[in-house]
Amino acid sequence: MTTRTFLLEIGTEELPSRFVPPALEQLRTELAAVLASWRLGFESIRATGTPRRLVLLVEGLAEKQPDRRVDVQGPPKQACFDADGNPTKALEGFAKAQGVELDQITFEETDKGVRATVVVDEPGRSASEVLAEVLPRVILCPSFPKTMRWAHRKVRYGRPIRWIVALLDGDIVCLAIEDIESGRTSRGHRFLGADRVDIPSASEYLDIMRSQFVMVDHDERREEIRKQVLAAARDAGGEPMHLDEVLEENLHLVEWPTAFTGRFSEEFLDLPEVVPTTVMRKHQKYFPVSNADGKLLPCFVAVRNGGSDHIDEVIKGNQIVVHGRLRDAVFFFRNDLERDLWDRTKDLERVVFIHGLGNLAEKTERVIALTDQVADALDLGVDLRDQARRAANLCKADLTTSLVIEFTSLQGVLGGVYAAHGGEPEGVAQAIGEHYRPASADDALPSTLPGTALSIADKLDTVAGVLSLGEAPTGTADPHGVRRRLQGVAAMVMRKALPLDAMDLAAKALAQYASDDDAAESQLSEMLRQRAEAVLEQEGVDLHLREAVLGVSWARLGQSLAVARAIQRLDADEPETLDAAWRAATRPANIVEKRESDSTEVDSALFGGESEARLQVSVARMETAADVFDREIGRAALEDRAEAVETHATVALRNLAEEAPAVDGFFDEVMVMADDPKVKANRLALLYRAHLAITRIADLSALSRE
Amino acid sequence: MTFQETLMTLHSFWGDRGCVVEQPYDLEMGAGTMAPATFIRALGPEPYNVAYVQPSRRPADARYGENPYRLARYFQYQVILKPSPDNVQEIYIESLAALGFDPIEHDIRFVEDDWENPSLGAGGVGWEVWMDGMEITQFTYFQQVGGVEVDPVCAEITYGPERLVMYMQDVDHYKDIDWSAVIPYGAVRQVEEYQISAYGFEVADIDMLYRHFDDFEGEAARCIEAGLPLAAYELVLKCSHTFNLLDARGAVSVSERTALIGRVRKLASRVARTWLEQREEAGWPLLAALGKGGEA
Repeated sequence: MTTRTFLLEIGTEELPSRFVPPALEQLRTELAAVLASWRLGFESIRATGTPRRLVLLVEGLAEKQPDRRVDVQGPPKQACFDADGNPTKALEGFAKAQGVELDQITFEETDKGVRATVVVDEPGRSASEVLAEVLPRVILCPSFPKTMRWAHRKVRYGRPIRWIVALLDGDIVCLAIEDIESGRTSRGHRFLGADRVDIPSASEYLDIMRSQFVMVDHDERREEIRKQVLAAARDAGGEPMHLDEVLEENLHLVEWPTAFTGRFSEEFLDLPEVVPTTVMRKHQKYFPVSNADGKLLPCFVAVRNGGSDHIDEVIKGNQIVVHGRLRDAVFFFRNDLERDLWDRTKDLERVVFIHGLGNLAEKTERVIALTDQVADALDLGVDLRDQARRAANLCKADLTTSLVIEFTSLQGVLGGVYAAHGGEPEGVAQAIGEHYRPASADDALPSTLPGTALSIADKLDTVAGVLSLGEAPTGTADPHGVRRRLQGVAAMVMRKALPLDAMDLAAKALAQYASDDDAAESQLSEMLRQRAEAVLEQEGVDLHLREAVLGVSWARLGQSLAVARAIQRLDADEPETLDAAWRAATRPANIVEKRESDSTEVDSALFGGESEARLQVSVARMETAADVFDREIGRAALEDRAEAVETHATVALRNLAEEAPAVDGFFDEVMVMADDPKVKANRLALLYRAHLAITRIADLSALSRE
Repeated sequence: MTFQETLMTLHSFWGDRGCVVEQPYDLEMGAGTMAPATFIRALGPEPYNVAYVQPSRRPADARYGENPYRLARYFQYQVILKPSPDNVQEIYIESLAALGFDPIEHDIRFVEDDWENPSLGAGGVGWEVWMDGMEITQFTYFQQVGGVEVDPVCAEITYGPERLVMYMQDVDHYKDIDWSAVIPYGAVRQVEEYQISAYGFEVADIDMLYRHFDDFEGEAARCIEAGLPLAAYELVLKCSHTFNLLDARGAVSVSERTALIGRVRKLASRVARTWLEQREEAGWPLLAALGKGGEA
């Protein structure tokens, strides 16, 4: 069958760069689904584009749908013949409507009974006809983060649609979005290309656009920018910083990229480095440049949407802008240094924390109290505890500085800088600087213990406050970042295997809001569980294993990830060991659900046989193994705890595997649910002790191993 | 090109393209958007094309005339094209060419930036226009004004003439701009900047301002009830500026802030609805006079 090349170009005014990649993906998926459902085969669909055009290119598109034979159903059989067996009007009418003789009609069993049926040859429709019908829906399929209307039109889109090119090889596919009709006329680069560019056929599109200074393919454009930026930075004696991040920002801001280098005065290098780099990256979308030691150089690389003609004028303008912004920053920075953070804490009373939750001075008091509790729970020792406490006192003070007001994203980081300037010990400055971490699921955790303690306290306080207001997140709406914060807490506790009862701390955080609201507490516990699951999922821990390691007490949340790793490793290296441990854990776990009390009193006088006595010895060994596990991880330094948990969990699991014969022997020979209630209770108590010991490591019975 | 030539060039550019060249509105306001020529005319189906300079008051941005970019009173050059023409970006770029900026010699970009004015219940979608990395224009398709979805949508183009001229004249402080061939911007305005900065930060009587706010608010409501939305709107502007003064004076706590903004927004939205009712009753006069398209 002959195939065709199809081009759809949706010409728009400049789409926000963040809108483009998801829109392209949605367009591609939608077109693929539509073509499949219309039985139009194709070899490939490519979705690509620039800020001014979303482009779909289909190669090897079938010229038309395949012909097919379809069953057309008519009236039910009983309505087709009268009492004498003669055809009724209904049957004749059906035959006439389908253009067939009566003898061509058969009667077929259908889900609506036996019906008159005609087999009809349905010729496939042409691709052009189908596309004209379905393309409007494809064009409008992207769900942009924000949509708009323009002029008199009713349609909503990311930005105004200005033209549509729809070509099947050389033929226009006719369609319209309101009064915007498809054609073959595209537009070149806004300044370098022509206003009207006719595309003779779909396969020539990319080359023609290149001659019009539009590099349509975004992968090609990305590599071109990368190459130019690296070369420009190297010419300036350094390497571009944050290359990938700034590259993505620039990718959909330009159709014809040209990188250039600008300079700024060395005096601005006296600013904390994050200030100039933030001005460059976030505000101007420039690449900062660093030397071989990673130190910032007084220059930047930027990408112009155009060629290299008149580039000196462009460089000059950009330098003026960055100079002005950095001069403002220096002014703010010097002003800010005139008052130290302790002095600034007095101003926190005047700053609202979250509407309905008082001011930042009150928030600070709560965070100090909670930090103390985290520090105590972690047994940080006097020095680190003091550092955490000092940092807690100062952690919000930078919110009153001009530089943070100007560069909100630098909250905390600048607090650390100002703390160091104010003569605070390094540990304090560092804790302040990192207490907003992790800011997302992929962000680094605080590196120090005081920073971690402060971060946990700060996040739990915000979460508790928001919940006490009754503003728990719903659906995708989480305006105060409750989920993100809780996940941060879970990530810190789990990745560092901290011996913290996060739920107990959360309850203390709630108590500080004088909220005796049980609903908030159960909400919090449910959300914390979900966030802990999310952390494990991110680490590649499957559903059953998550269940196994989280199905123990909240106090053991910290060990969960490391235990999961131990189980995963055992499963890979010695699966028969894990099988045995699983059996030893699962058989008691299943039956203790039937116990009537939580008694752990075992009376050996009630034993009915040897296997029961053997199990008692075995349970004692399980308890010792659990004690050893707890003792060893308790001894490990906080910094090494994740590793210690993994090592000792492995030991405990291997030991448990060795108890499998004793457990099996017991279940094979002894009837747990004995008639004598005392004997039965005694057996359940023994098994319950086994279960308690095993679940100090993990609830292995949640694993699926059959 | 001097500062005044720049403004005159824009006047003649937009005047030639069918805009009413309005004069600045004679009340204090924070931005050109707030002038009735925008706020009021953006509402309803009647076409309207207008261009004007609007002195814009930002008491909180006051810097006693010292900061190179920030001023308590500066100028905005405001253009409204309703409905938004399909070639509105191209017309805008022609206006830059009229000012002597050949787009081939510069890097001109449309960078996502949506605009919102909570006091006016207004918001739109658009860009800040960058020239060689500098923001020179705010470009917005209004979606909502006075809490009302607008239909048709207009395009708003707001130039920062000081920025543009500083770039054109290659000076790095507003006071060094050539206002005309004979006098710099600083000589025209710097003393005034100093005095209104000092007034806003140090002198303004907080109690009086709060009293005025209440009075203007009450008067605005009375005007709306009397069927005089345009008169009411002037009082809304006075409320808004009074609020800005209080804010600059540091007299507004965060929770009060939300409440005061809410009061202004409520009035603005009543003005919008009353104006629309009156125009509808009058049969949308400009619809008949100018047709659906307008001209730009």
